Amino acid sequence: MSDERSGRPERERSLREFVAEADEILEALSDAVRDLEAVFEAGRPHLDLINTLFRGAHTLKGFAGLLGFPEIASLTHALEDLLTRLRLGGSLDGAILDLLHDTLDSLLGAVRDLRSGSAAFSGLGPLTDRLARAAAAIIIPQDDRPGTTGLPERIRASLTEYEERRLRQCLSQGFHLALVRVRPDPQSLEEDLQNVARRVGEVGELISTLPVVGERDERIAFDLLVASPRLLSDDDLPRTIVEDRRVVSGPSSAATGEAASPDGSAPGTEAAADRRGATQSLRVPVARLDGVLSQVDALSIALASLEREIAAVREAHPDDHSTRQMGPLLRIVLARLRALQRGAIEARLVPLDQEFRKVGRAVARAARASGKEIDLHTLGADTEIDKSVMDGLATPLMHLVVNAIDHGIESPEERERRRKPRRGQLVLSAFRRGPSVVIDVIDDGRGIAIREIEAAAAARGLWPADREMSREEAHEMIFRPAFSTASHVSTVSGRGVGMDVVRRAIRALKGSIVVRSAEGRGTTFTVMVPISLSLVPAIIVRSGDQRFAIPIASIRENLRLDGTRVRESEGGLLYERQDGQLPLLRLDRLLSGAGGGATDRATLGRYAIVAGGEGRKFGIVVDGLVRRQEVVVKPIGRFLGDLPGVAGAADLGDATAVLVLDPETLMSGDQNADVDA
Amino acid sequence: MPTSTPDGDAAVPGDGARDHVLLFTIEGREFAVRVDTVIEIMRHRAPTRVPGTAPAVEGIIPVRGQMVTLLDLRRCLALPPRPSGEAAQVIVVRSADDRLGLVVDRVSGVAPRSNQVAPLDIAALLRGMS
Repeated sequence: MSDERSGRPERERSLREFVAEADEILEALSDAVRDLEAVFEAGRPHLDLINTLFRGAHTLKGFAGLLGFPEIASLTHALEDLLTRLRLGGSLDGAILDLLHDTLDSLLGAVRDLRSGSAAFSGLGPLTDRLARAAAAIIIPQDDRPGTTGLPERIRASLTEYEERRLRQCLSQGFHLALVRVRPDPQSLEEDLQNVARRVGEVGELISTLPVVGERDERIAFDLLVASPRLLSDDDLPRTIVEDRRVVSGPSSAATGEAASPDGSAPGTEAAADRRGATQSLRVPVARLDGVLSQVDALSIALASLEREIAAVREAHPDDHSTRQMGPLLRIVLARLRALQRGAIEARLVPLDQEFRKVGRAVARAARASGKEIDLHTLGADTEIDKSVMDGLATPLMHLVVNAIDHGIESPEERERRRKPRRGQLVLSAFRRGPSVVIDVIDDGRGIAIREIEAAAAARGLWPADREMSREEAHEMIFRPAFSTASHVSTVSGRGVGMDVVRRAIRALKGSIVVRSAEGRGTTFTVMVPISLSLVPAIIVRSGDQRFAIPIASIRENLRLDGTRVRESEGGLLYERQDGQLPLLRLDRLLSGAGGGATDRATLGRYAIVAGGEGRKFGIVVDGLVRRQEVVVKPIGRFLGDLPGVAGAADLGDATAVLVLDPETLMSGDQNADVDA
Repeated sequence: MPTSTPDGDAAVPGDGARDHVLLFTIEGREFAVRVDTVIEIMRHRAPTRVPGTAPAVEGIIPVRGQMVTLLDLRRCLALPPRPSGEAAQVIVVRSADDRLGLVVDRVSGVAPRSNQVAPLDIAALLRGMS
């Protein structure tokens, strides 16, 4: 039976509720697994983290069951079982950690599928089996933890969080532990139990009252787990109902080894409580925000019409006082509208923090899998970015990080040989620069080895064998499709992950990626993406009889062309500048795919918009600069598809569309012949 | 029963939409499209040209926040080009997620589907263009 049944509103609501709760829980679980890797590596005790995981899995199972997602409930139940065995003293190893990662990944995937409306999570069965087998294989040592010897597993497993904490507290204070079986009269069950609880309270602490199952007698029996500073005697408890008393363990002098804060609460709960209590935020479906945004857009268009009408009236009645007033009033309205538009766009912004945490967990796992020791530093996790941009960044960012671990950072032994610190450093930093966000992935590994790239490229027929490759060429080569220098298949990523995939994904977000590297010292990948794909600050330009919008993020500078500096060359016209020659390209020819090189000085326009990355700059010649305007970029239409050089179209407010250009892909026809459009 | 449609933005009747067609003329010949795909009818206005597209694509215009691709049906149907100065109308139809604007001479009205005029197969028209 598929979990997905469409159409019923109640079903929708359950889905949304579940997804919302699951998101929060999975985030906390993610952090816990990442932390688990750290303490595992350090060889420290990890029971608190296991408990945090158990709590999360338990809550998730509850929601899944309640809201009607049986497959997810089964998976989390299996996870719970595994975690229980770990809680009871079973030992954690790398294989189990991997399984936890896989389970978390599957759960994240299942929730993502639910959120997007597809019913694709049919693969949970095999994983559930794996969890069950792994759980069964965990050996619970009976003599492992001092102070709890002799306590039957059944009892241990039945204790709640609180009871377990109390148990540990008492034991660490040197209390004795006893199991007292009582069999009260069914007629006076409550009073008897209260009586015995009171009596126990006088000599010690009643940790738990557990009904005994499987009894043939009519009278129900209970096992009382009692912790007391001294051994219990017969007089301490009402004789009539006590059937048996068994000492479970003596006092333990050593603490059990977990960090227990003075007030007895586990660190994990504090943080969780903080997170829930202090948050001043609201979950809003993205679609609702988009709805607000399109209302604002419609308002903007209506106001543009109003503006035209007002202009016409003023022309017809230039001396009329009241029509003169309308101009400034309208300007105020338009300014408020812009602010509203910006507000709606900003509401979609989320901090990069979420992505950085996922990366944190992946780094921990990849490091362990490759046997490398790595410290991850993140900066600027609170930098905000549009949610859909962040969703698009997730995969390429992960690729970059995993690549840094696989190919960048050396093994501890090799690092020592090279007199580097044993632990590799990986830095993920983000900051806002104007309308864009700049994200750096920096490692202090072996850097991009030019000769290696050259050899690998030659072996693949991508480079002539007798030609020496420059550093820039090597840095560009790694982005070519199907290129990899991995000498072995990485267990984490499967095979050398193509940087071309990464670059394409980033370009799809209207972003860019460049690399800087020093052999032997390290590599830095710099990704730049617009904060928001919707409202984009742009320069409106005129070329021929058409207007275009060029996003400011793509513009390096604007030039007013000085005719004396224009040179002719066989490739086209060049512009002399202090830092070199700038190829000049005509916009209309670029768009029509005619190569773009300006060849006729006489018809050259007056301005050039300089775009392009380091070493690849070019000037787009236009006839005029109209104004600066923030535009809402819309797709030009599915039928027209993706056109190189065109990011979309925008309504400037006068009911005509201008094409919004994408200088990066405008040039791609000239640059990378093997990159498909 | 054909009803005359006003010039400008208009909604088309919804009852029995499947069985009704919107009739229009190009070069004196009558054509039709299924009413249930029609979103609105409007005056033709000059679109923004988009480079690198098929000749039948006149360009794009924004309509209520979405870009509409204007298709010159004369070219699609291999008819002679419209004489300059002649007014034209645009039938905006829904095609998958997209909005297409069919440029025609004049919209005549809505009528029940009959055997005389078969509605145009928009999908086939588009395929023939690419």
